[in-house]
Amino acid sequence: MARKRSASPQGFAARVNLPLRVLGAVVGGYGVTSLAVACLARILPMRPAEASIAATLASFAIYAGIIVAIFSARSVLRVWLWLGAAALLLGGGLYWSILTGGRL
Amino acid sequence: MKDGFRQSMAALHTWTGLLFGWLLFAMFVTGTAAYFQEEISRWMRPELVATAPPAPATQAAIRWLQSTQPDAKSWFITPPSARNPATEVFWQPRIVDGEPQARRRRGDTSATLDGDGRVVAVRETRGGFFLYRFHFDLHYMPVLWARYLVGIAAMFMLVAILSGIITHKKIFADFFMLRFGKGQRSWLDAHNVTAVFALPFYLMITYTGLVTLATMYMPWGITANYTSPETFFADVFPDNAEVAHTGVAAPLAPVGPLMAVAAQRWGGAAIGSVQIANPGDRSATITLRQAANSAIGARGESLVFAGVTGRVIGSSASQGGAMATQSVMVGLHAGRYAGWGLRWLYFLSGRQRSGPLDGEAPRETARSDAPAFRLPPRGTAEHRRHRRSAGRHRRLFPRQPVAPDRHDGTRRMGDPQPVPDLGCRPALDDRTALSSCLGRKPRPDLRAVRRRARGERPHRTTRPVERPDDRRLAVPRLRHDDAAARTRFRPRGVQRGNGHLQTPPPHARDAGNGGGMIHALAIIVTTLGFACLCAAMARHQKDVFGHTLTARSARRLRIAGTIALLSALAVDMTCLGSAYGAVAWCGHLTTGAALVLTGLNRKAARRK
Repeated sequence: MARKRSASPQGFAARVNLPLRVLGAVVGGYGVTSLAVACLARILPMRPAEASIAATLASFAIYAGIIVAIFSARSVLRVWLWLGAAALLLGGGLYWSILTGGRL
Repeated sequence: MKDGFRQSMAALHTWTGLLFGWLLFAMFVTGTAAYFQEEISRWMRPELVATAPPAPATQAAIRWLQSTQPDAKSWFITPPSARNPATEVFWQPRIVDGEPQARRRRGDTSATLDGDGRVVAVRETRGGFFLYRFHFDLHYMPVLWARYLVGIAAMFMLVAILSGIITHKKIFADFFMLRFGKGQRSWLDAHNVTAVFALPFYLMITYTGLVTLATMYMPWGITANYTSPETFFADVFPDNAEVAHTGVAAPLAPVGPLMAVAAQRWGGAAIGSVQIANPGDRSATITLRQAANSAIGARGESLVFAGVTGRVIGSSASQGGAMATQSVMVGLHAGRYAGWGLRWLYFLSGRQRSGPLDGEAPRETARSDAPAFRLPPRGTAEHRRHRRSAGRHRRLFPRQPVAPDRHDGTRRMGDPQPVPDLGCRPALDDRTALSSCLGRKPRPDLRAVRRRARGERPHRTTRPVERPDDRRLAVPRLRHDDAAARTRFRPRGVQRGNGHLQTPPPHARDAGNGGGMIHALAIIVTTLGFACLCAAMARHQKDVFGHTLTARSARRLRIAGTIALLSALAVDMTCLGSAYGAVAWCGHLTTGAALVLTGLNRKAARRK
């Protein structure tokens, strides 16, 4: 769909659609994945080492899922809103978790 | 919205495939070849001849190290195995405070020994090891860059696979659809077919490949819980902590009995490596690790002995679920556990992927209005060229652009394991592997090639030795005369036929008596199954029977086919063990489907 949109000329919005999605997928997706992995590593109910590895193992599935979602989303604005919301939520949770629990 | 979704996935599939296809191709070719790393190395160094079973060879290697490297910080010995006849040793020099650390080259801290502990003059070649390292180090660029690049490419591959699955909603219906002589359409069909054949393999190999370097790509899981990677490793491998050097000299206990103890504990599994820390010191420890082919997991069991007394002082900590999963994932990727049958299945699956990456356009894209992949208009010169090049049926499986067969190949079993697996392999191996590849890279092979290109004679570093008579890939034969040694250490290929001498351990069943028969049986059953499934589809009934079948008999065929495939799974899992069997089943499916397709191909061609 990304292609179809950018193919139909709708001015500025259409032109930045694809670059913004790619940026969102590569950079934003990685950022959100990292935060999600860090959060998982904190909250999974296992030994810290186990939780770290379990979260790391899941990371690529999460990342791939995010990329697929980004490229299938209806509008690029939604993509970035979702990315921002997820980053805020996960980042906040992580910050709070480390603040209260600390690291080894 | 549904259609838009699939269309966007088609675009994603195309672009992710195209952007990194070039690199993925190189990775697949070298990686597939690396499954036969040992055999390639063996073939390229025919002067190596096995002379002793592992225990005496290890003892001899220790004697050699004692006389040449008494002050080393640690020794690392890989005893000869069924796949590598020589003893490989390497050592870590002790770093003395205040002395600048000399930049080391590969040959400075390693050696190849024969069974009597003499250095073997082997020709300068990295053999199959070159292919193995190329797979993720890319050879021509700095190692760290290469590994990041490889990771990005693998991520692209993962996204391409996922979007490909979404794009082809009728993935299994399309599976048997091969239209011949239709130009680009035929290529797309071939792309679909080969991709779906080994889909589980691709998913597995891509994901587990990412996992092997996961701590490099995704270090945040560790960062979240630990202030530094070192504290993480100390937590994960408490046994691996360095022992302080006391400075009091003490002789080392003989290693042979220790190896026997370990092998007994592990139910007859071979010893993959022997590591001796602080040799010659009172604090010396001897760590024995299980051979890589004794379990799927990459992190095999280990036993730690006190170097002087020979008492067991520790063993590998039991792994939690996540660690065990990670270990199995890395093991699945590296395939070191695989016997020769499964190894060939890995090879076939990987080789397929090295083929039609270049047919990378999904059919959906070709059907839709996407501009990139449209057939040239009829009647133009381009169209004629297309028809010519796409040609008839036989050209569907043409010479695939893969490396020449003889150089396709292997993996080094239990060598100074340089596989960086989530950084969880004992830290020593990783560090040394990395430092050795961060240093200067000797490139003897390329030099030899250039020399030959200039018409010079190849440069021989060794006395000419007659080649071992049996050079078949994957069925190496060792030469020792000692009958006792032969029973204890019988190379796999020789085990076939006279298994009464020794019952192979469960993990070696694949290579032992009847292992080949199990593979053959499973392939026959899966072939039959796929043939039934294929015949159940109206599209193919004309080709196969000359007329269409009733809905009822088609349903029966479908059920029969499903049962056949499932029973192949059952056979594999009962005869080869559940885990090993499941992996082998994927390979058998691939082979069976390939056979059916080739048959169908022939049949359709004859009817034309």
